[in-house]
Parts: sequence; C-alpha cells; structure tokens
Amino acid sequence: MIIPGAFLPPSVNADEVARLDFGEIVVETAILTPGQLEKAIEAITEARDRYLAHRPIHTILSSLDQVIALWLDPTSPLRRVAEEALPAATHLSSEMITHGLPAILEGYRKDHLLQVLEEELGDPLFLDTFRPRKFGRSRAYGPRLTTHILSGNIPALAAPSVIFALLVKSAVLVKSSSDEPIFPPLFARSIAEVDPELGRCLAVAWWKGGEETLEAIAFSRSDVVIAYGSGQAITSIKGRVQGRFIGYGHRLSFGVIGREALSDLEEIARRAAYDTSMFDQQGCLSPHLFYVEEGGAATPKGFARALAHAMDELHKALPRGRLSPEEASVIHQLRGAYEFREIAGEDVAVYAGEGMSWTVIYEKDPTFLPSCLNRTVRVKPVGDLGQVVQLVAPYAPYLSAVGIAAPPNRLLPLVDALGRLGVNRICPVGKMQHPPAGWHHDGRFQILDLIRWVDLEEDRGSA
Amino acid sequence: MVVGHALFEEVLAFLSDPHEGSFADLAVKVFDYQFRQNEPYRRYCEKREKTPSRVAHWKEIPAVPTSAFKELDLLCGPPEKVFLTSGTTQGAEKRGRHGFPRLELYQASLLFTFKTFLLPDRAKLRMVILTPPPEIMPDSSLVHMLEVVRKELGASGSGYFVGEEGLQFERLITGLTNASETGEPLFLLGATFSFVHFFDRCLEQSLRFHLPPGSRVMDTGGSKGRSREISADELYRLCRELLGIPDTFVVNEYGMTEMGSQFYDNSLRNHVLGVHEPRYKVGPPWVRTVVLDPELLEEVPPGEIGLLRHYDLANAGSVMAIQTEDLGRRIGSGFEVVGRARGAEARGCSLALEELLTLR
Repeated sequence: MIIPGAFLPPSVNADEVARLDFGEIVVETAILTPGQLEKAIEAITEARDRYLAHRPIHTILSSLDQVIALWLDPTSPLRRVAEEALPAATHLSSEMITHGLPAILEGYRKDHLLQVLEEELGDPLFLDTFRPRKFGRSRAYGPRLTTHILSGNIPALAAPSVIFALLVKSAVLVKSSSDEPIFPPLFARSIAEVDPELGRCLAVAWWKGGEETLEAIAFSRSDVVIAYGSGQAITSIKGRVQGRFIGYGHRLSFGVIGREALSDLEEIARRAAYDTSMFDQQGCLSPHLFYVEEGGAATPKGFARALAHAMDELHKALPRGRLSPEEASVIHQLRGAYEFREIAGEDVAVYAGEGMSWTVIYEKDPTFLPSCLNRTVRVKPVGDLGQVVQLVAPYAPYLSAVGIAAPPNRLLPLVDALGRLGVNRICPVGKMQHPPAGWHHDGRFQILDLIRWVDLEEDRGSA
Repeated sequence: MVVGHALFEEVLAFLSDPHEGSFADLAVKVFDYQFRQNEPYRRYCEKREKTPSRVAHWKEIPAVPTSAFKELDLLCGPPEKVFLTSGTTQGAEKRGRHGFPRLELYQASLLFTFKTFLLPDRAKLRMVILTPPPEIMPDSSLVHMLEVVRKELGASGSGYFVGEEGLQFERLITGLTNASETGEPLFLLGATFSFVHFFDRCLEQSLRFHLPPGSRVMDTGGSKGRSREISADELYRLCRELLGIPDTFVVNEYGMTEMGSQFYDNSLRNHVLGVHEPRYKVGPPWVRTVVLDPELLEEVPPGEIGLLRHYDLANAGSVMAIQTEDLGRRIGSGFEVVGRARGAEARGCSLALEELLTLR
C-alpha cells in the first residue's frame, strides 16, 4: 500500500518524491525545495489570516469534535488505513494500534477540550473577543504559525499538538518523524474532510530531521516551535529557534505500590502490566520500574511473579510489536546476566515471556535503573514508600509520571516530596498511559503556553 | 566420561590435527565435561532441561550470553590466566572475565588460525604492533595474543608502538621509512582505531609510504567510539594510499575476550591460494558459528541477518557455546559481521539506559 506522506496546499507542487519504505507499506512524500516550503507557509498563514483568525472558538471545537468522531468510528476509511499502515511503521502490533489509537483520541472530544480551555483561560471566549477581567478587558491571541517537529514513538502524537494549535487559531506546519510519517498526513486529511476551511490552514511535510535550510525557513516564520525528541535533538532545535520554543525531551516514569494495594495482588499486577505494556514502553509515561513496599499481603517478589503472569496474559490480547535485532539482543543479554546473578546467589529473579515478549526482573538492590524498554520492567522492594524519593533523586531532571497505589493518608506526603523533586504527573497505577486532555505535559500549559494576552484599559472619563 | 586433563589432551590433539576426529563428537564430550565441572553453567543448563543425556547434537548445547561473563566466573577449574574485557568508554559498566584453566588450548588455537589467515605464504615478517605491550595491558586478551604471535611468528625487531603516552608516532614513522628504503616488508597489527589515529596524523602531515610487497595489516575491533568512525572500504583505501598495501593484504580480525579462538577475513589466504571468493570471516575447524533469529533464537536461512552464536572447542575450560551481541549473516563457509547490538538505542522518548550512563 502506498500512502501519501505530505499534506500540502494545492498551490505547492513538489517535483521530487521521497519513498519511505516500511515493507508492505510505502510512504511517498514530497521533497520540498526551500521555495516550496516558503510557498506552503505563505498559503497556510494567509488562509489562517483570512478564515481561522476570525472563526468563533465554538465552531472550531465543533469541527475538531467531528474529526475525533471520525477517528473513533472503526469503519471510517482513514482509520482503517491508519490501522493497516501504522503497525508497519511504528513496530507496534495491529492489536495495540487498534486499542491504542481510540484510547488516545477519545481524550480530545469536545467536552474535554472545552474543559481545558475553561481551566486554562477561565473563559474560552477570550480567544474570540476582548472580555472583561478584574483589570479592564483582555483578549488571547494565538500564534500566526506554529511548527511541530514530531517524534515517532507514539502514534497519534500529532493529534493533541495540532488540536491545541488550531484551538488558538494558529496555522500549523507539521514535520513528521521518519519513524512514523503515516498518522500526521491522515489526521490533516480528516480535518480537511470535515472542515475544508480549517484544512487550508494546515500543512504536513517530511524532511530529514536537522535539515537546516528547511528548518531555518520554518523556524523563522513561526511564532512558536514545538518539538518532541531526544535531548540532543531538542537542544539542537532550541538553538535555532528565534521565537517561543516548547521542547518535550526524553523522560522516564516509574510506579510505586504501597503495601495496602498488595491485598488485591491480581488487580494491582494487572494494572501495572497495562501501564508497562502499552505502546511497548516507548512513551515518556511508560514505567521503567516498580518500587513495591514490604510488609503487605504479598512480598515484592510475589508482586513480581504476579506482574509476570499479568504481562503474559496481556501479551495475548495486546501482543508486543516487532523488535529490531539490537533490541532483542539487549533483552536477551539482560535476562542472561540476571539469570547468572541468581545462580551466583544474589537475591534476583527473572521472569521471561516466550521469545522476547516481556521480561520482569525482581532485584533486591533498590537502586533505580532505567529499562532497556520493549516490556522489560524491574521490581524492587522498599521498606517504606518514603524511601522512593531518595532512590529516584539522581534522575530528577528526567522524571515525568509516577503511578502510585497507596491510601490517601500515605499518598499525600509522598506526592509532595516527589513534586519538589521534579516529577510532574502523579496518577493511579493503571492510568499512567492515559493522561487527561488537560494534563500539564512536562509541567506546562497546553493553551496558555501558545497564546499571548492583549489588555485593553479603557478611558472611562473619570480623569 | 572423560576427566579434565584427558579431555584437554583430546582437544589439543584435535587442534593439532583436525582431520583426525570429529567436531561433533568432541563438542558433545566437552559439553558433558563442562556440565559436570562448571557449576553455574550446569544450573543454567538444568533450568533449560539440557543435560548431557538430552543433548545429542552440538547445536542443542545451551549458549551463555556474553553478559554473563560480567557477573561471575564461568570456569571448569582454576585458571592459569584470566583476561578482562575492555569495558565501555564510559567505564560505568562491569568488565567481563574469561579464564583459561589450560592456556595451551588458547595458544594452540590462536597460532594455527593466525598462520592460516595472515601468514598463508609462511612469511616471517617484522611486526609493528599498534597496541601497548603486555606489561601495560596484562589483562587484555588481544595484547596477549599479539605477544604470542610476536614471539612465535615475528621476525627480529618486532615490537610495540604504543606506550603509556599513546601512539609513538615518530618511532613509527622512522620504522616505516626504513622499511620503504630497505625493501623489507612489514606487518602492522593493532586496533582499528589506532590505525585511524595514525592515518589521521599522516594525512595532517602529508606523509605517505610505499611499503614493500608482502607487507600487510591486521586490524581488529572497529573504530566506533575510540576514533572517528570509518568503514572497511575507507580503511582499505587509506592502507592503499598511505601505506601502499593492497586491499587483499588488509585482514580484519573478529574476536572477543569470551572466546579462545578468533576469526579472520579470508582475503589474504584466498589471494595466496588463488581462490576467488568474496571477503568474509572464517574461523578454525574447531569452531562452528550459527546465525539465529534474534527473538526466537532459532537458526535463520543462509544469507539472512541474525545474532551470531559460536561453539568453540578452545573454550573447553570455560563455556564452549557463546551467544554474542553481534549481528551477521552466513556466507560461503563463514560469515560476515554486519553490526554489534551492544548499546542498541531504543526508539522513542522513553529514556533508555545508554543515554543515562553519562549521568553517573
């Protein structure tokens, strides 16, 4: 199957085409010249000035809601193309795509988006007109153009990024990742199908990351640049952006299981297995490790066994995707190393799924260790929940989410300590992969970070 | 059932004359011995229900991942010599340990293979070794190997050109210049990255040599991480242009601390024998290599890429079956190494181990 990898204004006709080959799926995408990229930016920003800048926020919300509805319909042609093509590019299994795509997208229905707007702005109408505030009146203006440099680890990553930019009435230029050039153009097409006017404010292109000439054009024309990727990629882009820059770099997450939660061992293990297995641990919200408190109805090692069982069960319903030879080898070597440590008498245990499907390692030493991913997770004991803070402290700059299962009276002191450390999302175990639309991604706002306020102080004739 | 001493003698006899005996028979005997003498390995095999009575063919012998050598000693008896892996550039990782209860097996294996692939013309050459001498690196299996070949096969005047201070560039230049003038062929040996450093300095100073015919190069280990990274083709070009050594006389070694035997490019041997074949790696007759699907660990069809697993009788005193992190494909009677899985970068934004090594 051949899938178009670009979504460009009709006025832009690229002469050259790149083919990104994913076996049975081939993505054909325009190779833009600097002039063509300029032209595309010109077209979408003009369309934005003409239509989008004047569109009432409620009409944008309605259109986007129809777009999401289209994606939530299993019979819609675009979704079927995505479900067929994404497993080839992302290496996730078809089952995972079929389960994961709607799980992500249903978070962006109209009522959720409205809640985000209301929470961050107070009143969504600030995006339409000058509205009274305690100090005069104000209006929120979005950027004329936002550029989105995407990474390829999680499918549908484009959706929230594009949605929030359109909500603030910005034209959107998306640069797809070489690892996942499939969803962004399909998503753009779905928007254009539902609302052609909105579609004219959008462009999706692909070029090799770090292509400085094209990126210089995109960055110089953008008011805001949003980038996802490795620390190195983020630093490189940040140095070349003149306007506002929002970077989402590599992060790591982990889980904490209090002793009380071990009384329903099967249930808590099932939830932990779900958090670990979703998207084969490729997301920044994927747990690398679970700390388990001693003194509960099950031992931490007992939890590791239960987690192994749950990982195996889940693998039947949501199988792991393809591994590269390197990834498989790393898991094999890790398993072997721990097996021999167990043989040498260390308090460790390896639970391993068939092939390289999943791996649970119990290790008495509580030192935090990042995982080699692809459903590889360590379980480590702690005497008390509070010890976790010191253990993860060396990784503070990289911490993202913590899934915690503990009763409220013990949760709150821990939450405060983790918050001080730098963690920015704490959620129940089992919910790590499904943040609500209004979460503070890496501790930031979704809407407020994009807009700029204009205040109007009126002369009331009293002076 | 064979006791250790007698088994080592049997393997040594096979090493000295592989035509007398069978790899398959001896491999099963070695497994039986290792299962009895190597306690951690026995337990590893028992977990897999692979005991000598259940292993009829050498391909069924459980292989130990190279990572295990970092965790514990895998030995069938007290070692005469222990080699350590070099560890990563970050130095955060534990070093692997491989001991030899009977070092003679290692010496016999390496000399046979070295002569076969690097001295098929039986030349006796002055060896210019681009590693530190054994006094500086006593734990390195590569340095030990080079010391053995220097002593046994090198012409007088062979020696090391790396000291505590690094590459002895001026001394090297003098040696190469003299050889160009006297017409005495030279044999340069060392880590690939040392050659890259040397060539870079030659390029800076516009130095070129025309080493006499018969001169040759053995490089090993690749250049990644220790110098600028270059391809094999670029190495051949540099050897040709800066040393005057033709491609066929540049032979790459592929070996590892965890193995008693090594593999070499077939290029020089084929050139001397007048055989026309593509370049690939070949080992001695007491080693077998299989290529496995990385997930299922089952053999892949010839030509497909997979993980390399070696069965090496020279490892009779430790573990014979070694599961490497190296990717390769079967060609002719040997294989080609296409990459090393170590330090594989995981996809995605979830932070992987490698990126964090620098944190500690």
